[in-house]
Amino acid sequence: MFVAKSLNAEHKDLIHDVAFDFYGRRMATCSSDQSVKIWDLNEEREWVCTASWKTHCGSVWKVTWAHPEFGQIIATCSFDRTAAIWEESVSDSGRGIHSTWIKRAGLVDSRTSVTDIKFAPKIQGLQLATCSAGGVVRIYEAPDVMNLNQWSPQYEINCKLQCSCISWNPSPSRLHAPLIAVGSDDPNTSSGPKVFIYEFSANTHKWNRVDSLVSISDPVHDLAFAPNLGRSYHLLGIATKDVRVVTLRPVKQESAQSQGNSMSFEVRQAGQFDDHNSTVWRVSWNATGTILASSGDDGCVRLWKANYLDIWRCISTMRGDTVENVAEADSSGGSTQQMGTASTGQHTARYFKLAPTAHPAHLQWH
Amino acid sequence: MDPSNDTAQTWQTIPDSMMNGRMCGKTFSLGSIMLFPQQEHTNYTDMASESGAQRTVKMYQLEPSSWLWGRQARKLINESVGTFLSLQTAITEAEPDRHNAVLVKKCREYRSIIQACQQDTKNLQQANENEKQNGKEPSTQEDLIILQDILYKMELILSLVELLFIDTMSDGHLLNQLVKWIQLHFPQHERKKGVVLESDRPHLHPDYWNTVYGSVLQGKLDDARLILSNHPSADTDPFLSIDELLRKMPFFQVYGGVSVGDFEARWQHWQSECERRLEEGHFASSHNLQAICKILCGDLETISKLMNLMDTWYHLMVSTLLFTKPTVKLFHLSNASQDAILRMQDQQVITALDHVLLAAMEADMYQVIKECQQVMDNPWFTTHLTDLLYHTVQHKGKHQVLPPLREYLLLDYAEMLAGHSSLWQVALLYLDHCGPRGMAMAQEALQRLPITSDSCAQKIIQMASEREFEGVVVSVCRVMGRRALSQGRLGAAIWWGMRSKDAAFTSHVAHQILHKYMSDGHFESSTLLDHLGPAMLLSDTLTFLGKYREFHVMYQEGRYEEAAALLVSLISSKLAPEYFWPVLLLDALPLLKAKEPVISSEQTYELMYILDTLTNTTRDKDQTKNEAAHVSFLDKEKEIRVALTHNLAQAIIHEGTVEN
Repeated sequence: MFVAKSLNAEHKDLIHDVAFDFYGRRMATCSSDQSVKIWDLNEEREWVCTASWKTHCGSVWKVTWAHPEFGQIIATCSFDRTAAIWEESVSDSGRGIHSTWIKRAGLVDSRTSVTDIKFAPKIQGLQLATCSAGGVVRIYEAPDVMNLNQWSPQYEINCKLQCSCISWNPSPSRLHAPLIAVGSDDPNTSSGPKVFIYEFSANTHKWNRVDSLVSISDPVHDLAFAPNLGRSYHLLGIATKDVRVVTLRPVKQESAQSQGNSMSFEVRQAGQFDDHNSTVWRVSWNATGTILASSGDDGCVRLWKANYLDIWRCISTMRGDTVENVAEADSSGGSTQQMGTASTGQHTARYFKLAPTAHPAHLQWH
Repeated sequence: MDPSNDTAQTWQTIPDSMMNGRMCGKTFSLGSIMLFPQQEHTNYTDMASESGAQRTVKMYQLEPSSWLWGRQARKLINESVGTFLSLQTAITEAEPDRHNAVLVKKCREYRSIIQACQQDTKNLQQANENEKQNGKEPSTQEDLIILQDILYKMELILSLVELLFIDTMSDGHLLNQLVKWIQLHFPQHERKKGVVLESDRPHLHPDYWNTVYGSVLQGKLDDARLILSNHPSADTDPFLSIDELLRKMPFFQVYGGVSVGDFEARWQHWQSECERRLEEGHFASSHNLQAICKILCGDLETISKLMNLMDTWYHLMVSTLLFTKPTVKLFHLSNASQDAILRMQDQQVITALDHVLLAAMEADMYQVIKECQQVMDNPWFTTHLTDLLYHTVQHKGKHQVLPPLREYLLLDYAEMLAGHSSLWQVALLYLDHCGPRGMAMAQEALQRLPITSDSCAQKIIQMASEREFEGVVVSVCRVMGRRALSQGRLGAAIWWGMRSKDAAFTSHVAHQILHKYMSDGHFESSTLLDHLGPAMLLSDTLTFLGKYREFHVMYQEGRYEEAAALLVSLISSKLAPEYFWPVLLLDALPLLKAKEPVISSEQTYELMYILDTLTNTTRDKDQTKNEAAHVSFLDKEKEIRVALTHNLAQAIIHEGTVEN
């Protein structure tokens, strides 16, 4: 059961991405209106927009936060072929604290739309990966974490297919080499696998493709590695024509020709769900990597969770409703849970207590 | 049976037609979700301008909620963690043969926690009832009723689990336990007994006979006798006869020294006596007494007729067993419960609660857990139940499913608590018992706690240090350092930087402190800088900063010679950043002018070299010209030169004399 709280998005055009900071207390939204807005939770636990500015000369596709150890930093990528790094500057004007976001660097190496941007796990320092519609993955680094004005392109990987999404393996362990998964939304199913796994080799200082997921040849719109809390394998959530959950289990290669500890992966599909019955656009994990949220063309957001036997299943479905009246929607549920609207009309925020509509298989208490 | 133990799926609707098309969900924190519309065809700009009735685009934040977050359940959470923790230690310390005793004790603790919560809720509900006239919200009342219902059911299940799986002794004992369970949870006859006895003429009370039957069916034979003794014809033969039968009914005593076999024989003898008296027509005069005797004889038809006194199939089952199978064994219960349900069929719908109880009667632990998961909207109950069952079967060493299941549920419960702003510390206590995954989750949960204040940071650091989560400590310090820096609190930033041993960061802050000193001649948090100790070795700039403060202290204390030596060594060792040289030269000025030379000729050469480099380079750059120290340096450049030459001459003479 969930409690919902609404807020006005304030963007003048389609919102493409919403990103939360490490603590979930700050939010960045980006939109086709070329702007980014920063939202902060105030003491009443309401989201308040504290900054809004034009970031690019085109739709802003994605926004992402750096770890707070590096300060308050976001990165954006856009249809205008650039990516940018922004840092918050707080000044006390005497009339409360005022925050402005200063552009620290523009990354202009791409000749095509930059489709995704992600900061590396903090253990790798201040690194940033971008991917572009031109099929190139670029990895940037700020060698001096105290100087955000200097970003040097460190690596360029040509994926040969247009890229739509990228994800770092967030595994906090020093045992695992840095790992990146890249997804392609190339519509041609005959062009082969659409998910590529790259691993960084410390010996050769190169990113090597260690795997392509042959089971996925449909366009991939989003993918995300799950935070790894004590698992021996990596989990990858993928949004394609359905929802996929894939496990990558590292297998040490003992071959003679590959020196050092080159890894290969035993790839297994842990789940494939067509519940959305349509294209799936986004996937996102919670902070502990226990729940995967998927958003599909059927207008639903579904939450997925594994049981103790690692069998994944849908635990919750959310859908928009044309019914404006909450009470009316509730009465069909026939659930014993508390119903009705407890809406307190406060400024921009409204509160609803959502009653779960009973699943047919869900038996009620007597 | 597939013990997959899944929770029920829930459906949520967002009452907003803007969300009717494609919407996107993004998870954040531990369990929250932000939903935002993603419809390509929606023309945002037109909507605002064209139609007067604008439709604002909204985002929806969903946060998990359950009755467990209510004020009433807080006690439940806080007290059960104590029981959980003491159970874990008690079980490791106890001898294997004492395990069951420990578990029974802990199970009863859980039950009394639930009961206390029930009582609280009841009191509150009554208090609300009284206040209702004052226009109290009826919704909270409704909440309380729901909560009470949940609590009652949890207690009912837990007590059944206790007697079936944990507190297992001998066969005769099982029935006693079941009877006690029924007595405890169906107190209506007990209550009616009081009403009947207090009335003017009890035997004319409409509930008189039903109360007698009810008491008999619950095995409360003394109660039944008491009520019967209030009948005007209590001293007639039929009444005396039934009283004797009721009095003589044997009950199994665990420590009574009677074997199960002996007990069974005695019981059989008693029942044939009942049958004999029934056949001989002892009770022909009163159909009520006849009915009682028929119950005692275990006549199913009679017992079934009294169904309305028993409400549920499990009451019916226990009452039936009481008069038909006094030494019932666990494996009999499956059939007995099926029988009872069959007999009850048309009068009762099988509910989720029944499924749980049925699974228990069938001695299927996994099914019990699974069914509980199906009906609870949170893992509090299933988690503690599973933990109890895990410990119950663990020393029997034959179960593969419970250990991973227990860990999974504990993690799940702890994760839920960790997401709550005031319960995260409770979550950590559970995570301590979840092996490596628990450790990993504890670290993640600690790191993700919003650091709202310094004391909050200290709290997190303390919790992390207790568990030796070095990484978490460092991370919190770094975040605090960054925050202090962005707020311009340089002293605090240095302090946090040193705690996290972050060289790059402390250097950066140290530079800032030096720049600040150069512009306003004031040191940020000088006390902190004076007591850096060995931590100053973290970075060169920090070392310089610390040493430079030392110089100031020496100078103020009048130890000029030491101060001069330190100053020069700071310059010659290249520890000092170049932009700071003018300050050092200015600092040297009074020392150079001292009557007795404190700066040697060797040291003077160093200073002259620096002055030279400085004047050659600063002419090109002008970025530092605004800093006060730099301005005064330019003013006094000449004076410094003079002082240097003067000092050099003096020093050479002085050194020459001393050597000779």
